[in-house]
Amino acid sequence: MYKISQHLAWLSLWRRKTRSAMVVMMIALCLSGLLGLQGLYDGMISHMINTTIRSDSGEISLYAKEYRLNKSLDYRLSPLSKFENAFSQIEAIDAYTVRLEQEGLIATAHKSRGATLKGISLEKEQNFGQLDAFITKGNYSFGKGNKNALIGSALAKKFNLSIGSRVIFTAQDVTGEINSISFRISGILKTGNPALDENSVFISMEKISKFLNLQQSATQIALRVKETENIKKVQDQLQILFPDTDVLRWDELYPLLIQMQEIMNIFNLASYAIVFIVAALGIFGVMLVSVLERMREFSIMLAIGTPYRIVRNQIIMEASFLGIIGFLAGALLGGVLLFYMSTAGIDMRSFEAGLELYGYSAVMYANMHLYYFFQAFFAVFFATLLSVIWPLRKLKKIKPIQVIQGKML
Amino acid sequence: MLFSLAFRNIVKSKGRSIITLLLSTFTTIFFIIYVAFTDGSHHQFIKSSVEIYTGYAHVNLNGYRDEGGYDNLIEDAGSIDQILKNDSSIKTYSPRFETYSLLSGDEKAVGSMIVGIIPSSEASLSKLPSSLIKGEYLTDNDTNAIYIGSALAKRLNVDIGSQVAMVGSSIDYSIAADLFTIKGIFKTGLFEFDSQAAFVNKSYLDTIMLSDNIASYFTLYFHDNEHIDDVTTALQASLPSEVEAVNWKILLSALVQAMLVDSIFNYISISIFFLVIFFVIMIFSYVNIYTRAREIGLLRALGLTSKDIFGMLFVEILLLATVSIVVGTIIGASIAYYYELHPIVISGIAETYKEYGVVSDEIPMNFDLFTIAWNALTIFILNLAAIIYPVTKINKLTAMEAMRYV
Repeated sequence: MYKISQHLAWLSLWRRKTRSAMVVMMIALCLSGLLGLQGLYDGMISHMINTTIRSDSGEISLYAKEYRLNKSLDYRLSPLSKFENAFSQIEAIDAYTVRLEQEGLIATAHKSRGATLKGISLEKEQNFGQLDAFITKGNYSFGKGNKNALIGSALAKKFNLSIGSRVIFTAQDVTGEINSISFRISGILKTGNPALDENSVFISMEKISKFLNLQQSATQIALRVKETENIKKVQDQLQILFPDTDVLRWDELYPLLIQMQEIMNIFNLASYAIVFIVAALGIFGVMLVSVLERMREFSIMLAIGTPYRIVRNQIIMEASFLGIIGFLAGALLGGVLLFYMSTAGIDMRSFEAGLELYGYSAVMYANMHLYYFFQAFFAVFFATLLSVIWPLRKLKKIKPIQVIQGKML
Repeated sequence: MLFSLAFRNIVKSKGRSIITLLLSTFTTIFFIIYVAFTDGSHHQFIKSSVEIYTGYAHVNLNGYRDEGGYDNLIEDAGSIDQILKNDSSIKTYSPRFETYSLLSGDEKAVGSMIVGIIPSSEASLSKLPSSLIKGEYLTDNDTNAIYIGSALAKRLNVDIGSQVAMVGSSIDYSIAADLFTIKGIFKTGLFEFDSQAAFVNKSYLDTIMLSDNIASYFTLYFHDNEHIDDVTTALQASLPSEVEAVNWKILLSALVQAMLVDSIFNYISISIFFLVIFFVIMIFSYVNIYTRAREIGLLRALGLTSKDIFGMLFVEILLLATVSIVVGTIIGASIAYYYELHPIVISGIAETYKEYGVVSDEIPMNFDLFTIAWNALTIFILNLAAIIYPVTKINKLTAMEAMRYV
């Protein structure tokens, strides 16, 4: 019986090819557009999160208590060996990096402005977040004797700096004395994290320690954790080991990124809901007419003893076929679109300045996840079911004999 | 006759008419509100940045915006002042001297932007005086008093009456240093600005920086800021060739570009909604027209041409679209107008997004008749475009084919 319904539904679908094609096109085009947007928006936020984790926070960061409220060298992590020994005991920690930073004034012969000097270990940063991949000019090196510096791209642009340019950084050391240090630029970094690109100058850990009159100290230790599910566990473990330290996850340090991701998810769901409620209207239009123009046919079926559920199943299947074909076409089209956007990316370099202002990449890459397609399938499925409710109610109310006699529609 | 036939059809096909009317009306309202909200938030962003500190236009030496520093200062500010004074399009203006120095409190030193301003002039050019949250604003007679951003005060751990030391370089690149007393603390809401900027009476700062009769730039407020491109172009003609007049669209080009990108993405998002509306109207029109195929065949047999049929069906959608767009536009425009006067308040949004330049919890809509007109026209065209295919298809049938259509 089920097979008969299926066969009848399939045949009915192609009785009015144009009508069915319109519905399929509507579903396919809207679905591919929604999939493309979902992947692109998701990709934009993921890129921001990824660059933030790689270039700054890691999955977990450690700060001395109070440091984040009052960025003073009085609040620092020391001695480093205490932390490093603990990290070596925790298997879930993949890599870590130690940073020592101080705010001050960067100046060239002609210009000056506020900036942050960061002491890092190039090797550790490379293992931690492949910082070397962010180099746009020059080398990922502090040069001979670790005398040179790397600088954020936006800051370099403001000062019109190129490789080999000399800059002076003035800041207070740990004793409160104001000192200056001079170095040449050996590399320019573009991380996509505005806080780093616009404000940061990187020098070796040894050089900054000497400049700030500090040993075995850091203002931040950032950790990479092997699996996402381990993050909370490692955080709790570290908090027990270092109760006087702030042990914070990246989403606690950058709650705005999580919020943006949540807003984007809500936006995607709302878009699916609005578009497919309206799409359900379109399917409904076709299904209603399809049922109404075959009222006599259905009445005859019912009059000769066909159970109502067979007729009902036929109509549901007819709508489902429309939905499934539309979904498959949309998923294929959307999949191709997503594949293209996730591999070739969308080049928005003509809007580079505007995008960088908010930390977006000028070449945008889409994400592509299987769950997008499941989500889309449920939206189509829901729209399809919604569209047949009214036609089925209409069908249930008919009196077959009267319809056959032409007395009732 | 076509009109009465069309009208009769609209009344007869209630279902299709109601759905088309509702969809078009709702889409028009939605589109107008969506664009008004987007434009309103963008205008708010830009207006805040322009009016808080930047100003509507600057007059500076060529190259100052790209290179800045002391090599591109206006060295005869008096002559530029004279030109600006004689320009009737300018309502008010003032010179500023911007430099970066290290400011030190008792415990901490921070690289800061120190700006020499004429305090009385800034009242009509920026929101500096009205952003005061503690202490007092500067006067034209102040000497070593400093007006400092709230986040900068927090970074330096200083308060009203505290002393801060400034170490920088004067325009001859010699060391410039002085001790200032904090007279006032301001909070504009522009997070980066509040955490970096400090202001000093220009006449006093000039004695430290050796910048008498020197300015980084002049900031301007025109009588007609709405036509900023025209007024800055006109002003440029009266300025020496080495001096340029640039308006906020160039001064804040990155922000303008960011808003443009945001608008593009918004239009792409909403276009999917339009696509589905287009298809639904097309499907309903198609179904409706084809259920009347016999009737249309009969009309053709009675002598109506395919042009007449097209006209009749076109008038149908024209009537439906006109009614829905007029109703939708009135409702949408009223909502946009209301929320322009009474902005939507989203509590806490300014605090949450302060690093992104959001300065207020209020988001006004933008009521602009031209924008509303093109929004409504877009939906109108969408409606008309949706019937082209069904009408073309039915007109391909001959009278006999149409009458036999099952």
